[in-house]
Amino acid sequence: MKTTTPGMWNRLLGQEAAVGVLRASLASDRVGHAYLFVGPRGVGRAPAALALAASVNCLDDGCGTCAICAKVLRRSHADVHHISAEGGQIVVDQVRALREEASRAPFEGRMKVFIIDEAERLNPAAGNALLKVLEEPPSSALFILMTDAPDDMLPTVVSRCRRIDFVPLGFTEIVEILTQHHGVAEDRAAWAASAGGNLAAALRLSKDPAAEERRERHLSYPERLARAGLSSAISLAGEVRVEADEAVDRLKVRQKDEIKEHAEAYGEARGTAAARKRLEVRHKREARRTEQQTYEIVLTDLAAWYRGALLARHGDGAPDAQIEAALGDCALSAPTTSFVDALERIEATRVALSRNAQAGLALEALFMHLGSIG
Amino acid sequence: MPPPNAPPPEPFLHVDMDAFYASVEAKHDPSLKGVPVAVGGSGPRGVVMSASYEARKFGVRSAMPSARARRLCPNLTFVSPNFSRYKAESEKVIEIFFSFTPLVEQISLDEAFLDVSGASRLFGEPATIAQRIRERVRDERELVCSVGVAPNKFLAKLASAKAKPDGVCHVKAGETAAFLDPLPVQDLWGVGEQTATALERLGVRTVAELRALPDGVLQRALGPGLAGHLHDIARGRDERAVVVHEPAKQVSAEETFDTDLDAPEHLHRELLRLAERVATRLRKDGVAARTVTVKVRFANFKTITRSRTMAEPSDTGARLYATARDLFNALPLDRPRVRLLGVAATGLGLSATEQLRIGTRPDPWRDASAAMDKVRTRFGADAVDLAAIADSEPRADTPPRRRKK
Amino acid sequence: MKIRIERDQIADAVAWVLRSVGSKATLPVLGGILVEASDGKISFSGTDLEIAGRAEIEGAVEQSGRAVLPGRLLNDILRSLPEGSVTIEADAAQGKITGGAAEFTLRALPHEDFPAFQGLDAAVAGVLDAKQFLQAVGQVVRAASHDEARPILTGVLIEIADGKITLAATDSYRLSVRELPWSGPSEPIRRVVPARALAEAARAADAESEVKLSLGESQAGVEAGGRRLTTRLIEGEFPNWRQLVPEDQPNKLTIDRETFAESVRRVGILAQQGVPVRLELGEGGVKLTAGTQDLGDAVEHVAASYAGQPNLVAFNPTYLSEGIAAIEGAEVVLGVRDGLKPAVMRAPGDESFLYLLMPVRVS
Repeated sequence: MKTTTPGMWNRLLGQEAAVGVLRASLASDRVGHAYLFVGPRGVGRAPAALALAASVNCLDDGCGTCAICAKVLRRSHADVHHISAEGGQIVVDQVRALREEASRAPFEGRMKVFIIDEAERLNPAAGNALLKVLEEPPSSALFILMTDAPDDMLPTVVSRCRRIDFVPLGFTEIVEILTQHHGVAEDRAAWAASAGGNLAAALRLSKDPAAEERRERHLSYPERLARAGLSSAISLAGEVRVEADEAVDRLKVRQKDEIKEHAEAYGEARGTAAARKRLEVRHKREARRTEQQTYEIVLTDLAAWYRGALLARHGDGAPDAQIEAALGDCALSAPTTSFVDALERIEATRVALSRNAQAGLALEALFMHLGSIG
Repeated sequence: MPPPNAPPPEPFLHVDMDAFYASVEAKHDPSLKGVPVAVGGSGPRGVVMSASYEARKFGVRSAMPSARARRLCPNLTFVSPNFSRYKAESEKVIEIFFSFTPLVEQISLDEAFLDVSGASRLFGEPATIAQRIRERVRDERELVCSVGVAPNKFLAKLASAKAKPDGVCHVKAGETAAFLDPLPVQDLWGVGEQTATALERLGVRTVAELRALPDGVLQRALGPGLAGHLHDIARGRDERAVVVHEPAKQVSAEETFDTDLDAPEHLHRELLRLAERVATRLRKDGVAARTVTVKVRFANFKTITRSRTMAEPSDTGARLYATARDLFNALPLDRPRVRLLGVAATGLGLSATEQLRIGTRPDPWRDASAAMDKVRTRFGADAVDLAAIADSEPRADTPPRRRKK
Repeated sequence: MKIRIERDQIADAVAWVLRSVGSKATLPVLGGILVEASDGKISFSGTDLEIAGRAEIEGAVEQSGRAVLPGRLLNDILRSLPEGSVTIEADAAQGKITGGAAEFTLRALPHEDFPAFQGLDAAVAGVLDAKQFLQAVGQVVRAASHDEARPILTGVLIEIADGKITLAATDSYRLSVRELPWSGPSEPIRRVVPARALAEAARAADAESEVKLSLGESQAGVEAGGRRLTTRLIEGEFPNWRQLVPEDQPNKLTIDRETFAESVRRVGILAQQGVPVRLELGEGGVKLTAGTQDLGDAVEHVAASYAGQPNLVAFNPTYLSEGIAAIEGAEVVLGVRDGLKPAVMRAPGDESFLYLLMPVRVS
């Protein structure tokens, strides 16, 4: 076993336990046939799955740098398959295709790896079909299921997998990972960790030049709402909608390219209409996810302000310079109970939005409430 | 005297074979002629399905536990039932009926109603037809039957009972009251134990007494529906027509649960139970089914059905259950709460076939099912069942089931 | 990379390779055709991960290299070019196609992502008569299963031993086995090839006199005339079919093949929806019947010679027809034991092909 830590597993700092188990299995050549990675999004499950997939195929003990590893990490390896829900569920046809592929000898690698994301979305028929494969797995196949909701999964499927838990990461750990392994400056790391909430989001933010400016704008809302009251609520909610639309527009440009590439490659041959339809479904989901992420960030930033205001009133310092700059009259004089109330409202809005509530209405309602503070 | 060409006043015949199963067995095995014979299970939990007249002299009757029958008649010979034989014989007898009139309603293997109102021109008066039927059945099938001739179905059935053994009973249109009055109320169609008890509390034991009861009293005691029915029946009125049956298009079984079920294991077990019931009836009727339909009624009363046609016709519970279970599992719902489950088999008529597989023996369930049928006729319907069902019989944690449909 | 080739040659090759390019779109690069040029050899490859097609042609290689260009576009462009010389110049970013006065520039796909073929160099390979090979595949492929619940049965077993190569397929209701002479390396080897893919791969043998069959660790290839189709293998243990073929049957029907086939087809009209065709075998030949109460019935007597005890056995009419069709020759010998045991069909005196068929049990 190599003594240096290959770069692939590096990105999984904060998940020592999980990484330890996986690397030990690899070293002793006792990799199981099926794993279930359990944990919240953004803490490193997908990178771990790719690292594992690369390690079982790499000819050099999972180096992370050879052509094989590079292909896997790029998600371009012919034997590493990514399965996710198109629409709301993972359907039985997808599992059937998986089963057929699993029975074949690997194309260019040593093992076929099937990474199933959001495994709790397997519908009953698909789950049962997958169970049959897990009960008699082909020797050259490895299944990695990932979920943040293990209780929503078919218990029979769960029992056939080795469970690996990924822990949520705290603020300090995120900062440490950003500074030590991604070369992010300390204060920016602190800001990104605070703003992002989880590692993946923090990483994304730390690399986004416009992120800081956006956060400053978000952090200005509470004071503006307090000053101008209800009339500003609607226009600010509108601003947020515009921000989300712009993010989606940027995504759509990339998606259009993808469609163009697809048409060039396949034209109108038989079966391409179905493939393009699947592409469109995936694009729709991505667009929705992008929209959701924008709202998540706005709500996270707002919540950070109210928490900051609470801390300031209790004599502690504000968590970062940007928040400190944004605290004004409202932060100084409004009753602290209303900050607590605001935090609850923000959380409720977050939940409602994750359940597909009408974004415009939800945001307006929230802002109107926030506008009545102070 | 009714005008010529007018329909006869008593056009309904009820033909009832005498000691049918026992007689068929005696016909098949002449050594059983003239001796006490009971068709049924001879084991400790067996029942008598049919007793020959020689056995009846000892007091042996249908539905009597075999143990008791043996005590009453130590020389009783027991014969295991052979349904295919009875079915074949019944078909031949029904053919005879059909040669007189197309309006034949078969009630069971040994009973049928005939409406001979249109047959009088060709075959004579209903009473004459009754006799001719009896002669032909005796000559062609070597079996004995009794016939009731009456103005309606219910009276015809009472009449055939009165005609037994080996006779005809003709209840004329004007004589219905005289015929009915002395009879106990239990003989009336639609009067069961509970109704009889309620009537007894009113001091009514015979049909005459029932007729004498004021309508209001009857209605208050039994409710308007039943009271109205009894009012008519007691006066010999029955408007039912003879309905010619199409052969069964479907065999089904349903179960409503006391408490809504949602655990997959429980629901699967109920499906298995229902599939077994359906399969047993299919085998009894000598048919197999090609299509299975599952019916599910949810707690909110929404009801759905799902069907699938199998590759081959089947008559085993295991095969029907496998299809039913797949249909149920394919429902896109997450642990739904179910109040009723039903399994129906359609596409009947084809005998069960089985495409054999290389290297394996023929479906063991076919032989097992046939064996289970035999055991059940000997020991009663509850004597044997699939382990999955039998092991699950009432336990503290299993919800009890309501009455079967 | 820079190459120069005759338009007809390259258009044909690319069109042929394009048939192996699927539309799964799981990896964008799979929509492309890989062009490789080195040492005077130019090859085009395309794959949908189940089958890979590779065509090699002659042409001038001005600069070695490789590039992946969008398949459909490339094909359309080449077909539209005028006759004569065509030049393709490509790098990692784009490919330029010139022919006559026309010039096209296409965006290239990332060639590092193109799946690397396992390579059949280390494979066991031998040459077979093309017609015989095509015939063998045709005889055997239909018996394979379509149910991916048991993937191994969706494949055809290719077995080499003792100077013979055997192809076998079964769906557990019938088994079809064909043997051919093998002049390649004699080391015993067993591989299972997906039936659908094998049927496709046999395409490469079309209109050729010889084919080269290669069996590798994870792929099998069929090659002829500069074109090769490779398919992936199915992993797992194929059932030991030799154990399932009965020694010999006591009852044999020898019957004209055409007549038998026609008769089964006719009687089979009333054998729909799972109803079998019953064969009553006896001295004069065979009486075929099929039918149900609802539909009616069909009866046909066919004179033939029969050796053995009178017998009644029923079969699925499709399975029976397919078996009869697979036999080569004027006559069919159908051997049966009873209504529950396997029946075996062969051409008289021909040990190279057998079709085993399980009966349908009727009550």
